[in-house]
Amino acid sequence: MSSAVEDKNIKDAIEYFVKEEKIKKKGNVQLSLALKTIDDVSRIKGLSAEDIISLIGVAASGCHGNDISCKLIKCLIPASVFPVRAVELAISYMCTSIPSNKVQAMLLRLLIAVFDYIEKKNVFQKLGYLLFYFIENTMLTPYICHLLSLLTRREDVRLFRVRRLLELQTKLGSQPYIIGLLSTYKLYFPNLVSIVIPSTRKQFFPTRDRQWCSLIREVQDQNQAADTAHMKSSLELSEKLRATESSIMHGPAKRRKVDPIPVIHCSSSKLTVKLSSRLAAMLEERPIPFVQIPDIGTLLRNPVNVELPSQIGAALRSPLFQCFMSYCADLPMTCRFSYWLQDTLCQELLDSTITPACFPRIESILEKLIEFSEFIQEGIPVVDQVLFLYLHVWNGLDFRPQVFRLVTRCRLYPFSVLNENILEPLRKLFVRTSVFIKCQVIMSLTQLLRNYATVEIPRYHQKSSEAKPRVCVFEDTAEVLDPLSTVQELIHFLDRLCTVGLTLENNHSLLLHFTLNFTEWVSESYVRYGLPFVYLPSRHITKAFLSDNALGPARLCGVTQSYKRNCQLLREDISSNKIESPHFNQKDTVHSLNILILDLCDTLWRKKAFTHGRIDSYFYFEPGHVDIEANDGLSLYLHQAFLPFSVLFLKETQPQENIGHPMGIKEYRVLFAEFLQREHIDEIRNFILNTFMRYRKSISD
Amino acid sequence: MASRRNSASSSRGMSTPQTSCLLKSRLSQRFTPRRFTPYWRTPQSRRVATAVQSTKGRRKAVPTKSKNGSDSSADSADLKGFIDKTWRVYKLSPLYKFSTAPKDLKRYGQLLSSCVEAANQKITIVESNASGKAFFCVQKELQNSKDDPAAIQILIKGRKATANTDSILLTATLCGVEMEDNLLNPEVKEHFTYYPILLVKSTVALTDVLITWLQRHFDCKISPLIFPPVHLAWMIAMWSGGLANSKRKNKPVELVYQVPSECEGIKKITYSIEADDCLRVWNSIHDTREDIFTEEEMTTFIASMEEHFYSLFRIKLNAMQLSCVGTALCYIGREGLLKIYSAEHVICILRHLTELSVEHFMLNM
Repeated sequence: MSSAVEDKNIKDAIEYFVKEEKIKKKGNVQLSLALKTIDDVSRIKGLSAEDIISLIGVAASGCHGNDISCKLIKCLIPASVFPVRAVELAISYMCTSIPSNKVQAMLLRLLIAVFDYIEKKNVFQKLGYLLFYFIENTMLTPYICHLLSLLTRREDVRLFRVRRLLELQTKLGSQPYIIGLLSTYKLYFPNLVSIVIPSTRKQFFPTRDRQWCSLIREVQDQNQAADTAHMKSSLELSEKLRATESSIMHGPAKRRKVDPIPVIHCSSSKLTVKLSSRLAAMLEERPIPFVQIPDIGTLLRNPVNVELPSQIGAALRSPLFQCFMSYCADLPMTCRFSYWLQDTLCQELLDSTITPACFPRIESILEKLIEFSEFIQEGIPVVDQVLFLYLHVWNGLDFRPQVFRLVTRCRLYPFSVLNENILEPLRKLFVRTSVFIKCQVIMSLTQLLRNYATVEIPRYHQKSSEAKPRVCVFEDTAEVLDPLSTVQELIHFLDRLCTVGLTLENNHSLLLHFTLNFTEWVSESYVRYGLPFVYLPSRHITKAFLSDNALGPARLCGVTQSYKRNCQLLREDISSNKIESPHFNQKDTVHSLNILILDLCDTLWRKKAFTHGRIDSYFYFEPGHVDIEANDGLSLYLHQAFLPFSVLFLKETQPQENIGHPMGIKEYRVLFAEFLQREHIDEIRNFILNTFMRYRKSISD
Repeated sequence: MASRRNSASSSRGMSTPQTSCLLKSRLSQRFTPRRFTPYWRTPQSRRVATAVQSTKGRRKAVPTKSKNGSDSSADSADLKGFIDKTWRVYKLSPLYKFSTAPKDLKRYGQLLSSCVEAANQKITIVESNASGKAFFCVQKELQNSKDDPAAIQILIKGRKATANTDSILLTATLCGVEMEDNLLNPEVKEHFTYYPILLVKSTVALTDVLITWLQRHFDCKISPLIFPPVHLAWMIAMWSGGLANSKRKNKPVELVYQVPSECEGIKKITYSIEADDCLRVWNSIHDTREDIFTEEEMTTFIASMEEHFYSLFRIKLNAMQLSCVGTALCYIGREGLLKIYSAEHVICILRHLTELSVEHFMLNM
C-alpha cells in the first residue's frame, strides 16, 4: 500500500466516524473495516494531531456507544505529540455527563498512557485539577489519583484536597492510589499531610495498560524524527520526582522516633500557600524548597531563592545544607539552630534518665555535630555552654572521644571562664585516671591551643579590627578579652599539668611523648603561629632528658633549637619595630634559654655535667655531693638512652673480638653524632652543629 | 568520686552524686568561692507564694500587685480551668514565626486538625472515627505583665463513640508568666516567640501528635521539664506556708521519697504532715513579713522535716531522692507532673515554673 492510498484510507475511516449519524453495530462491514484501518495505521506509524483531535471528539462524546468509543480510544496512539486540544476536548467531555463511566475511565487511562507525549503540559496542568471533582467516583478514583499525582504542582496542594482524600481513605480504607497521591502532596507540603507513607510499598500505581504503553513507546521510537526535546525534559522531571519520592520513602521512617535530629523536609516555615505566594508562583518566582535541590551546583546558581527546611536541626543530617549554612547564614537561621541544639543536647546529655541503650544515638548526634563543627571550622557557642555543664557531671567514660573532640573546638574565652568550666573538670579527671586518659587530656588541650592559634585568634582580630559584618557562622556575644593572655595562661596550665602527670605516672614514656608534643608546639609559637611570646617549659623538661628512650633527649635538643629560632626571630622583629610584645620579657627568657642550652652542651658534649659551676643550672649540685667521675655519665656516648647506639657504633667500627668500652668514643664524638643521624636521630647533630661548633669556633677565634 | 559521695551522705545530702554535690556545695558555699551546681546555678532566694512583688528579688519589679491583690477573685474565677487537672509540664525553645493574630490561629487550628486526623488513621487516638477538631485561642487571664507573650490555649475536641456530644480530648496552654523582656537577642526578636512552658492534659498519643506538630511547624524543641530534687525541695519549702491566709481545710503536706534500688521490697516513702503543723514550722523559720525566701531557710526547713522523721523512725530521708511533693497549692512530680488545687495560686505557680524553665534557657545567653 502506498502512503497516499493509506492516507486516503484513514481519512475515509475517520470521516466515517465523524459524519455518520447512527452506526449499526451488528454485521456492519464498513464499521469493522474502518476500525481495522485506524487500528493498523496507529499501530504502525501513529496518528497525526488532527486525526487524534477529530477522533477524540467522536470517542469522548460516546455517540456511537461504549464499545466503539473504547476501541477508538485504544487506537489514539500519537505519531509525534499528543495535541493539547485533544486533552482539552477529553476533559471537557468528561465534565459533561455525556460519556459513560467506562468511557471516562478509558479516557483517563489514555491520558496516563500518553502523558509523557502531551505537547503543552502546562495547559494540561492548569486544567487537570478539574478532574479532582470526580474523585468520589469509585470507578475513576485510581486513574484520577494516578493522573493527578503526575500533574500536581506546588500550588495545587490545598488543605481541602488533603482533607477530602483523607475522608475518602476513611471511606474506602487504605488504598495504594490514595496514599500515592498523598505522598506526592507530602513531597510539597509535609506539614499538610502528616500521614505516614509506608516505606514498603514502592509502586502506588500499577499500570494495567502495559501493552498499550509499550505500543505507544514503540511508535514514538520509530518516529524519532519528531522533536523530542520537550519530552526529554518532562521525562527527566518525572524521573527526578520519582527519585526524591523514593529517597523520602526510604527515609528513616522508623528511626525518626528515636533520633532527635529532624529529617530535612521541604515545607517552608510558612504554613500554607498564601495568595501572595500563589501569585508569585504564577510569576515563576517561587522559592525552591531545599529538599528538591539535588547538588551543590543547583544551590549555587540561585542561593537567594532557596526555601529553608522547616526544621533547621536537619542541617546535621545534610552536608548540602551545611554548605548552604556556611555560605549564607543569617542570624535568625543560626538562632533557630542554636535554640534547637541547646535543648536537644541538654535533653540528651544532661537528662538523668540516660540509659546505656541511648548511647549509640547520642554518640551519633555528637559525631554529626563534630563533623559539622569541623566543616564550618569553628566551635558552636551553644555546644560550648552545654559542654561546660556536662563536664562538671561527666564521669570521664561516656562519649570520651567525642567530648575530647568537642573540647578541642572550644571558642575563645577569658581564661577564668575556660579554667572554671573546662580545665578544672579536666584536671580532676586527669589526676585520678589512668595514664592513657592523661595522654588524651594533654593531647586534646594541645589541639585546643592549636585551634586557638590557627583559627580563633585570627578570627578574633579580624572581627575586632575591620568591623566586618560576619566572619563566622555562629556569632558569639562580643566579649572583649585578651586572646594572648588566655593562650599564655592555658600554656602555663598545661605545663603544670604535664609536670604533675609525669610525677604521678613515674615518667611514663607515652605521657612523655605527649608532653614533648606540647612543648614542641609551644616552642614554635612565634615562628609558625605568630604569637608574640616565648614560653619556656618548667623543670619537668629535664625528665625528657633523663629518660632512657633516645627520643627524649633528642627531641629536647630539637625543642631547644626551635626555642632559639623563635627567640631570635621575635627579638629581631621587636627591634625592627614590626610587632609589639608586652608579654615578652627578653632578658629573662634569653637567660633561661641560655641555661638550657649550656646545660645540654655541658652534659652531652663537654663532659662537665656537674662541674660547670653555674648555680642556676638544672644540674647544679653542691660541690662535693657529686663525684667528679660522674661528669662523664651523661655524655652522648654514655647516656643511658644512647648506650645501645654506642655499642652498635663500636660493633661496626671495632674489630669483633674486642669492641672496647663506649668511653673510647670520647675522641670520635663527631663521628658518633653522624652515626646517630644515620640512625634517624637528627636532632643531636643539628643541635651540636648549630650551637656547639659555632661556639667552639668563636672561642678559637 | 566515691569518697565525695560518702562524705556528702554522711553530712547532709541526697543519694545521687549529682545532688550530693549540689547540696554539699549549698552548705559549704560560704567557705568556697566556687560552687559546683551541676546543671545551672539556682538563685539564692526566691519569692514566696503569698508574697506580693518586691524590688528586692532577683527579678525586676513588675506591677502585679493590683492584679494579685484586689482582683484576685475575678482572676481566680477565670483560672478555674487550671485547677484539679493533672498537667504535664514541658519546656520549649522559642517558636519561630509564631503569630497570635486571630487569622493565623484559625489556620493553625485547621492544620492541627488535619494532622490529628492523619494520626487518627494510623492508630486510633480518638476513640471513634469522628475526627478531633483543634482550636487555638488567646488566654488573656494568664497575661500578667506587659512583657509576657499572649498565652495560647489549644483544645482538641472530638466525639467519643458512646457519647452524643463533643468532648475535649486535649487541653494545652502555651504560656510564660512575668517574664523578663530581654531574653531573646533583640536582633531576632521579631522572628521568635518565646513561651517557657507548655501544659498539656491529654492521652500520651495525642500529646505526641501535638508536640510533633509544634516542633515541625515552629522549629522548636519541646522536652519535659524535669524537676530535680533540689527544685522540689524549694517548692515545698516556699509553698508550705502559702496557705497561711486561706480559711478552708487544707490538704496535708506530702513528700514522696524514692528509696534506692538496693533496698528490696520498698519503693517509696510517703511522708505526709498536717498542713497546720507544717505551717508552724514554716512560721518559725520564715519571717512572714519578708517576701523573699532564702536558700538558707529552704535548707533549714527541709532539714527540720527530715530530722523529725529520723527521730521517729530512724530513717535518713536525706539519703533518698525526693520524687514528688504536694502542698495545698499543688502537687508536683519529678517527671513534670503538675496538679494545681488552688485557683488563687495558679499565677504564682506558673510564675515559678516559668522561672525554672527560663533558667534552663538562660544557658544560652
